[in-house]
Formats: sequence, structure tokens, C-alpha cells
Amino acid sequence: MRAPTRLYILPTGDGLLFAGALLVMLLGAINYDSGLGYLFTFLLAGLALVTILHTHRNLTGLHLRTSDTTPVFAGEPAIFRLCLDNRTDYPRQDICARIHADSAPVHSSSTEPISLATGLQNIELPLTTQGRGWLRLKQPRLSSTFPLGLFRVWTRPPAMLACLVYPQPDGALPLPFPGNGAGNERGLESGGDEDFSGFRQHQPGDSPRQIHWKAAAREQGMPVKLFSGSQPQDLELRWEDIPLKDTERRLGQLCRWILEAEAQGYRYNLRLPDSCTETGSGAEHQHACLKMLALYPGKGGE
Amino acid sequence: MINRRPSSEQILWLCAAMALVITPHLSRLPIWAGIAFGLLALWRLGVAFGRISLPARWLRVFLVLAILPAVYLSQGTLFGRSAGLTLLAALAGMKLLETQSPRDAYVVTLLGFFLVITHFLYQQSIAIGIYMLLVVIVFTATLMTIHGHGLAQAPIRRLRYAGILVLQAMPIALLLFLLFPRLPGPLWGLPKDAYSTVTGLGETMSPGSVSRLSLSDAVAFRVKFDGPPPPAAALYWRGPVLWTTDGRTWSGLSRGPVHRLPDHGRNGTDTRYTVTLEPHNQRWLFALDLPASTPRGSVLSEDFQLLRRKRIRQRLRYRARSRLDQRPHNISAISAARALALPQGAHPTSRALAKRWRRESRGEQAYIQRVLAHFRQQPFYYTLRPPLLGGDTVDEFMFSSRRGFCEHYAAAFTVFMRAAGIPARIVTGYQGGEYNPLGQYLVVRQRDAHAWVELWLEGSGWVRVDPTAAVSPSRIELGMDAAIPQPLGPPLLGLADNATARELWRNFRQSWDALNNGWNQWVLGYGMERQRQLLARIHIDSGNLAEIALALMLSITLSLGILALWLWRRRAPGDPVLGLYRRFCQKLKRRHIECGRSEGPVDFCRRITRQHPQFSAEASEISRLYIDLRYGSKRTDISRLRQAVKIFHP
Repeated sequence: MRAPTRLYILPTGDGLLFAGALLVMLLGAINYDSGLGYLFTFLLAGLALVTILHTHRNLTGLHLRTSDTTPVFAGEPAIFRLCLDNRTDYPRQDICARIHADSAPVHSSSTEPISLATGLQNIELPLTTQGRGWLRLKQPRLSSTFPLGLFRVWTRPPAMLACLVYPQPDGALPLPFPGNGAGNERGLESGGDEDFSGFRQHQPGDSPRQIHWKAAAREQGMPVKLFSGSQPQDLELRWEDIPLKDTERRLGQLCRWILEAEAQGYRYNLRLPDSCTETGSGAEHQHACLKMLALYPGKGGE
Repeated sequence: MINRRPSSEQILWLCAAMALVITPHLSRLPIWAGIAFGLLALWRLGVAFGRISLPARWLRVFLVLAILPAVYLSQGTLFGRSAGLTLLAALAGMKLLETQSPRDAYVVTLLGFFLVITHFLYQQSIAIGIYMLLVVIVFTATLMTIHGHGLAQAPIRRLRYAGILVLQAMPIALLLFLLFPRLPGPLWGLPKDAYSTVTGLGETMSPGSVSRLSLSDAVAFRVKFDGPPPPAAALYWRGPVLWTTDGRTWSGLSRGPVHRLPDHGRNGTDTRYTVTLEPHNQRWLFALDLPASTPRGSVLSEDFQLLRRKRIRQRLRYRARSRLDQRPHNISAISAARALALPQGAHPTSRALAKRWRRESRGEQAYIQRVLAHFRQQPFYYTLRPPLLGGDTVDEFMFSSRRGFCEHYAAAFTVFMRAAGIPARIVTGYQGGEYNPLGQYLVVRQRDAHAWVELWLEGSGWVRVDPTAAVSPSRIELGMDAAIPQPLGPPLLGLADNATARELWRNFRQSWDALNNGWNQWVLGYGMERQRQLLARIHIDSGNLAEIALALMLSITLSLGILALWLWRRRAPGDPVLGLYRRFCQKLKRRHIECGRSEGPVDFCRRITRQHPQFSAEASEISRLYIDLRYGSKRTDISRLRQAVKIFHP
């Protein structure tokens, strides 16, 4: 949240046309030796000069704030939220905000000109997404041709805007429950409640019987004892379980699985060739898993 | 720019602005163009607001193509001022109809600005200047509307912003106006019709040609005397001298040899003065009879006309010197023959009567007096509206109509002199003028146009005889107003006979003319010469373009800088509650109820209740809201205070 560092101002196409028209008027005034012709030609010239100041003033001292952008799935529009902050006592009018993706040739402009009195004004700019990964933006551009459209002032306030784009959910494989389908060689492990397999932090919905009370009494959080084969079944969503060659389609399938597992209330973890997550559930866990997919190396990821 | 169809609001602005700029042109445009423009604008409004659709494409193309032949058919040409204006108006109308995008709307606005400028090719009065200033503001607001992408805003706020912009542009306009290097126009050949509206004396005189001017209040020239102005009866402003006639029309000599001014030497009795001549698109200058000097750039013809090499198309100031008691006394044999010539067979009755009177008179003087006495004693009338003379103009005037303006008397008198063998010529010009005590100058108007006669008398030279004076002496001594008082006085009010009203009217007219004179000198007449003088005063050589450019840039930068400081000034955010309360106090102050310096809102309210019980209820309510908002719970809505102050009308 800093003041725009530098403002640029140049005549617009209309402004150049205006200058041409002034020249013709001046020639007419000279030719007919018309005093009022001179006066009005110069008045219009003065008007153009004065609008430079007004155009410039329309953007000076305007602050831009940004807020976090909610991640989206590839193909969905990412909504970038900008907030203009006018701390002067005069209103700003007809401002156009424009964002531009850093690498891809996608951009988006405000459809309605923005006007704001003293205070704040929120703008939401949708930008279509294509691939997964970070969608980083160049510095947003604010511009205005207010009041007469003869000059355009623009600035690029130093704001870092980015949106995480998850892979697009894809594929039709069923969830890999232990013992069926893809993970059946692991299904042998399902031995019952007694097979202790580890601890994890308590989450709502865990059975009180599984809480490791001794640890809790020692004020070490509230660990929950995990047993393989416990209900609801834990899912392992694994890269190598998907019989597809294409990386993106594999990631799409994993993405769908994560969404389905979350929706059906399963606890799950994600195993990719070079990384894996804890087993868990909930919005935060889902985001961590999806982020891992989004940033998986390869096309679009980092 | 976001490309979208112009909103109906934008179209309304455009149509209104275009209507404003076209209206004063309507009298100059052919009727079809005015009607066509109105229909096109209405059609576009119908498209924007109603359910009418735009005309089919082929029809639009046809209409555009039809403009050129239509202009050509009605104007006879495609070039020149009138045809150009018609073309511009028609194209603007078509473009208005075709406005489909902001760019189109912008082009229409530019055409509108062009139309503003075209007005000044026809007239440059103060009134049209003010009107066009308002039109420019409306167009500026229109431009804001176009670029505001249909941002809803009250028209009055748009106009206000546009007005502020124009106001802020004025200092720059003034600097450019004063300092921008003036070029001698015209840059290219002016179209022939450029000066068609200029009024003034013509090169020839026929019955009606001077009386036509008598209805015009237009200023011919203004004179500033070095000393006290001469008496009205001596104010004969010499113009074209007419020698030859075909029986109806009198005309001057083709440019004869230039006469070297006989060196009379400087004389203390010379009248010296400065004339500011309105452009009349002729070559002659006016000077008091008889000019004793030739102003710079002019020559004196044999018959004592001051002539310039080029037609006078700009307001011209010149110094002149005249000797009121001097008469020309040169005549050559050719001149004498010309001054006696009458067309074969013309005016038989008059000539017969002249010959008879000449025989009966003892000398030339007696004959001249007899003719003048005839004008005086017979029922001749001096009138602005002489009847049309169809047959032999002089005979008809002398023996049947007997109503005429100065040209009738001058022509008839000259015929009577020439028929009797006395060389005579007609001098046209102006007689008298109105002294403006405010500006201390004399205004000579077109209605002061006059024609008189010069007779060649052995021993005396050319003697001025004014036959009009015989019929209407007051015309010469008191001026046109006294001779024909009818056109004076505030028109339409029925006050023409009221002396006070006439005096007021005269004062008003003189102030108005003084204003016009300033306008002429500084706005319209500001050219190379005045610029040179002005620049010399601030020590800038008008020949040095670099110096002028530097001065121009510095001064414009300075004025923009001042404006920028003003625009970016830090204004205290201000407490809106306090502001509203102050507004309430101001409203009371207008009723002479003032809040004392040490008086708090509670005390003030009590005092109002005590002294002005009629405001008690409202004042209590406002005070209560104010105190609560400013010092109290602050839970009150400020809009209640705003509303209460707004509707409070003490």
C-alpha cells in the first residue's frame, strides 16, 4: 500500500485530432483576420492545456491496496480484488483499472469506469485462467482520460498480485479405497482397530476413545491414535495409482479425488513422486493438497 | 476507450449543443439546410429515445452523396464562406445521425467547435462572443459526457465543471491572444463573398443608395480629435467624389492622376485627429473636408479623395489633418468639361426650367440662391423613405414626388447647376456624428451618410453647397437624430417622445458604444501593429520570434503552475457538522441575526427564541441536532441536520 511512484501522461488519439482541428481553426482565424476567431482558438488550446492538469490530478495521490486472491481451478476466472484509496477531498472520476498476466497474454479491464469520492472503492477484476500454478500479474495499471479525453494519464502502482490456480478436476476413476481397484495390494494391511499406525493432531469428529489422553495430560496438544483400517477409511491418493501417462491428466484425476474425498468426509493424504502430505481432512488440508498439485513441476507448475 | 454505443444521454447532449451552435447560423444557411439539420437531429433523438430505427444504409449513403449537389445547386459553388458553412452544417447533421460510437460523437463535437469559429467570419460582436462562450461550455460538457462513458451525473454539475475548465483556460487564451505572433492575413485568397455583408458607401450613387444606409446604426468610423471637436455644421467627412451620370446613377472618375498636395505649410488652425475606420472593403479613407495631409500609405486624388492602394478589410487607424476653411481650387479643362456634362436627352423639364431661371437671374450667385430657395419654399420633404422613382429620376423628384433623401437633392441640384453652365460635382461621405463624452470621441454611423455638391465658381474655387440644408437645416446643424427623430428612443416601449427616456437611452447607447470601441480596439483590432506596440512596452522586439516564443512559454508555464498550485492545494478536511451549523448561521445573518463571538449554540438558540419567536422551532431543532452530533452521543444521523438546515429559510 504505497502511493503510485510515477505518473505518465500523453495525448490520446482524440487529443492529437483536437490539436489538428485547432491548427485548422488558427489558419482560418489568420486568413480571415478574425480577432474572435483567434481568441476562441486560443481558448480551446488553453482548455486542452488545462485538462492536462485535471487529468493528472485525477490519479495523483491515489493509493492502491490489494488483498489476497482466492485460489481457483484452471479454467475458472480468478477474481482479483483491488481497493482504491482516495485520501484527498476531491472526487476521482472515470478511472480504468487493468491487470495483465505476467507470462500469458491475458488481461482484463474494468468494464465500468471507476469513480470514487473521498474514501475507499473496491474493484473486482476477473481474469481467465488456463494452466495450473501461480498466476502472477504485472503491476496493475490505472489510467484515466478524465475530463475531456484529450490526454491519458496512467500509472503502475507497485502491487504484487498473484493467484494460485489448481489443476482442473479431470478423469473418471473411482476413489482408491483400500482393497478395491487401484490400491488393492495395500488392502492386505487392513487389519482392524488394533493395528496402531501413528499419531496425528485431533480434529473434530475424532472418536474420544482414540485420543491419546496421557499425552494430552502432559499438555502436548491432543494427539489422536491412528489405527490402520479405522473408520472412516483413510485414503491414500497416489500418483502411481493412476494408469495414465500424461502428467496434467494425472494431476487432474488427483484433483478430482481430493475434492471427492473431502466432499464425502474421508481423511486422505496425497503422494506424489517427490513429495507427500500428512493424512487429514478439512479446508486447510484440501488447500495444501491442491497447492501441491498446482505447483507440481512440469507445464505450468514451478 | 471502451467501445460501446452512445447512451441516449450522450446523444441528447450532442443534439442540444449542435442546436445551440447552429441556431445563429440559420439566417445564413439555405432553408433546406436548416430544415435538414433539424430533421437529422430529431431522427437521431428518435433513435436514442424512441423506437425509430436508423435509416437504411443505402439511404444514408445517398444522403451523404446528395449533400454536395445540394450545396452546389443552392449556392452556385462549393467554395467560399457560405458554401463552406452549408457543407459543414450538412456534414455535421449527417455525422450526428450516424453517431454510433464514442469516436463518432467526438467527431461531431469537433465539428461543433468548427461551427463556433465559423460564426466569427460573419460577426464579431460582444453578444455573439458571450453566446459562443456559453456554447463552448456546453460542448465541453458534452465532451465530458462522451468520455464519461455514460457515467450518470446531473447536467448542471457537468456544466459547472466545464465552466470551471473554460474559466481556467482563459488566462492561457489571453496570453496566447496577446503574444502569439500575428501574421498579416489573408494566407490564401479570400473567397469572393468574404465581405459581402460589409455596409458602407458605394462607388456609385443612385436614388436610394444613401437612404438605404440611413437605417443602419452600424459604425462607419470613430474619430478622436486632438483638440475640441469642430462644430457639427463643419463635420463634412469627404468620401468618393462623383462626376458622371447616366441620368440615374452617379459614379466617380476612373483613377485619375494622383494629385500632389499643394503645400499650404503648417497652419495653427489645422484640425488634427485620429480616425479608426471600420473595414468597408473600399479603397478610400474619410477625412474632414478638406484634407491637408495624406495619412501613411495613402494618396490624394485630384478631387481630394484619400485613397489607399488596397481595399480596407481590417479596422484601420490613421492620423489625419484637415483645414476646414480651405477649398480646392484646381480645375483642368477636362475636369471642367466633365463637371458640365449631362446625358443626352435626360431630365428635359428640369433642364428647361434651369435655363429659364438662369436667364432670369442676374448672376451665378443669384441663380444658385434661386434654386436653393425653390427647395426651401416649395413643399419638398426630407424623408428616409422616399418613393421609388421609376422614370426620369430628377424630373420626377423635382415636379411630382418632391420627397427625397440627400442623394435626391444633391443629384437634382447638380443637374440644375450643370444645365445652367456651372461646373458641379457630387461629394459623398458622412455628415456629423455623435460625440461620445464617455470615451471623448466622435462616432460616425452609416446613417450619417450624406451627399452634397461642390460648384466651381470663378475666383472662389470649388465651393461646397449642401442642398439638403435648404430643406432640412437641422440635418446639418443637429445631425440625423434631430432631422428625423423617429428611429431614436427605446424601441417598442412607446417612450420615443419621453425626453427622460430618450436621455437615458442616449446614455445607454453611448456607454454601449464606448464598450464596443474598447472591444474593437483590443479584441477585434488587435493585430500586428498593436502587438508590436504592446511588445515594445515589455521590451520585446516583435521581430525576434525566439524572444516571443520564450515569453509565451514562460508565461504559460507560469500560469499553469499557479493553476496547479491552486488545484493541488491542501484543503482542510473540515468538519461537515460544523460546516452545516455555519451554513445555518449564514442564513440567519442574511436576516441580520448574528451569532455573537462568545455565544455558544445554546445561548444563541435561546436568544433566537426570545427575539425571533417565528424561527424558534426550527432553530431549536437544528441546535439540538448540532449539539448532539458535535458534543453528544453522535448517534444522530448527520443527514437529519443536513435536511433541517437545507429547508430552513428564515
